[in-house]
Amino acid sequence: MRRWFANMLCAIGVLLPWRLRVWYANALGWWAQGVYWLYTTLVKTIVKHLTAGNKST
Amino acid sequence: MKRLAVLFSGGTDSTAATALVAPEYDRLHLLTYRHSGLEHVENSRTNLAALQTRFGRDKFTHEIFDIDRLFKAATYADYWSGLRRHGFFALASCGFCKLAMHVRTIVYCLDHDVTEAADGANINMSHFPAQMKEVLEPLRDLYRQFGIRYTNPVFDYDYPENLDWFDKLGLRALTGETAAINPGHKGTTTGQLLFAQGILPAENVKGTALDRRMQARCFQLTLLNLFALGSYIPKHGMEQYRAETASFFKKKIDWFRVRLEEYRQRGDDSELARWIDR
Repeated sequence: MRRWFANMLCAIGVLLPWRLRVWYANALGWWAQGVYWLYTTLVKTIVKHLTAGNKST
Repeated sequence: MKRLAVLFSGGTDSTAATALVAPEYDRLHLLTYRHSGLEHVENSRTNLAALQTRFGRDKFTHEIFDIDRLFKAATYADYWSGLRRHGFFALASCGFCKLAMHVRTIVYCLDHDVTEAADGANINMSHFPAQMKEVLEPLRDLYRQFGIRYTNPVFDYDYPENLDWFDKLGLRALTGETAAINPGHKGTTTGQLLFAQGILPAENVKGTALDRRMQARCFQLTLLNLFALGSYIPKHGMEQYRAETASFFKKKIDWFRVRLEEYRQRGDDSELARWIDR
């Protein structure tokens, strides 16, 4: 499934003309950054509250 | 006067390569390249300033060149036959970008009578085409054809681990453990070299705010990563990926070999000159 998804995204990239391909790669990159940021922010928030809870008990 | 051209992004590896060889040369020409999708190229000046403080202002010249047309030419050189023969290797943007940088460096060296060139290529960036020994050798041969000696001073340096996920997520605050610094590496890293010379404030700045402030940001690698890490390598393995990459890039390098030779003979009347921004 992961390989199929990667291949689909690559198939789009390979057909795009130059300028669109640059934008496409950038959009995918920002999307990946966004997912990463959301994930780390969520976990950091949970850890912060757990740490505060640990200290208060 | 002994001179060296350096492909200089301002990142840890190219800065370390520069710092390592700087005492051997009278003048280092630091060449930074800009193209579509590459943002904040001016960040390369951060480590330039640190190098100038360490080795002297007059030792360096720094120029930023636009290589958009060369990058595009590298991407679309024999595009359809490459796509038919090598499939999604046609998405190896990082390799095309670096190849365009090398071609522009050779042009710079020819124009300025510089006979030596270096970069921060490192063995540990294993899936990037221009960091592979199998691609670096034909590149070295390309430089040699034009009377230039091309070297990779930090090729065998060790690579730092990314900051531990445990640290990034602040989990050590929960467990009370102290941070593990570079738990996996065995030898000297380029970060350690720069830290020892007083150029970087810490041994491992990878993934930190400083790391983002000292070099350009580029997401063109997303497509290569999707193809290589998400599809090709899991199915065929690293060895086949390297062999196929080498075969693909050998053709691209030979394509530019012909055009560089024409540039040497015909100068501004050549096909290559149309893709060069000065």
